[in-house]
Amino acid sequence: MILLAGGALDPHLTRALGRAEARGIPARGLLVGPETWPTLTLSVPDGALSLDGEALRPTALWVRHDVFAALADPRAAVAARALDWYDTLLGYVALNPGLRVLNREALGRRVNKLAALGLAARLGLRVPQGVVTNDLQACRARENEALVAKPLRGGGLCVPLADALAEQADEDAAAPSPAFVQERLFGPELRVTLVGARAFTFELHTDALDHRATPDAPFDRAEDPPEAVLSPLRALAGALGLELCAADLKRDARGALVLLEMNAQPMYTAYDTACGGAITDAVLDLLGSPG
Amino acid sequence: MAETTKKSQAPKEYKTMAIPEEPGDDEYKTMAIPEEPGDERQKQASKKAFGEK
Repeated sequence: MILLAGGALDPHLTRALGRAEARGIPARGLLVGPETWPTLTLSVPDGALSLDGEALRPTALWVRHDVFAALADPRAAVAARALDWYDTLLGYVALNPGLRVLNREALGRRVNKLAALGLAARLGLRVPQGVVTNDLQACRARENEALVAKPLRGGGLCVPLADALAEQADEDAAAPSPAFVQERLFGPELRVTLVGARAFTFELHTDALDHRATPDAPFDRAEDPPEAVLSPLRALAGALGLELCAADLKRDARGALVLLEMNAQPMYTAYDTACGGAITDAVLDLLGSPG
Repeated sequence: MAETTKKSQAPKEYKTMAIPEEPGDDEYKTMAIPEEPGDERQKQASKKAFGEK
């Protein structure tokens, strides 16, 4: 039996449960909803799990940190609850070293974006050229160049450098936080979702610097990147402990593919729908494999 | 009585959120923008690149 754990509003988990049922794959959800949650007891230190009064011995686990509940209800308690359940499941993983767990080595590990880009470059991937800085004076001197800025830890959109500077007080020489300031890259953006040995590549068509600014942007299934890019992408995923992940790539002025980032908990339901549920099926297949 | 209960619970929640046990504990806050086309909730992205005072 596969255990799928996370938020009740996370469509990746709910569609995986539905697909597992359709395929006859034994699966169980451990889903925490906005107003309902299961009854769980985890024995310490032996790691035995009881869910709603039933002893569970799953053969594999996929756990996702729930961000959807907090989107629906912004109260701090909701985000704290999601973290509580995620941390509980991380503990369950740690207490059961023999359990097949998707992305086991990466769970709970915070990957610094600079560290990931440095690792990617060492593995042969092209990464954006630029700096991380809060030096507003130096940035103002370059604001007419083809540069963009984005928050170091994510969470905000990539914008033209001039726009990011306009958000800061004219008299300030140094910004409150360092940010990425880097070369402007070009679309269409490629999203490569890696599921074990399989790759699902989509091309996203938008004129926006950051595709999240145009949530209705059209996309198409595309050819996978050439092996010279795909192979180091797989190596990067492996080095980060990721069996399921998604890489974002754009092109530089000469047309070379550039890795923007590797997402450890990818959102892919729109792409999954576009390829007939093949990504979800691949995830279920991966959970059924020895790992 | 109901009002009293609410007030007594609020500080506990606040304390839970206000004291990260280690750097990165509040990383989940930055994960609240699904990077997927078609999701209206992406519009919540508004964090300034160079931060805020």
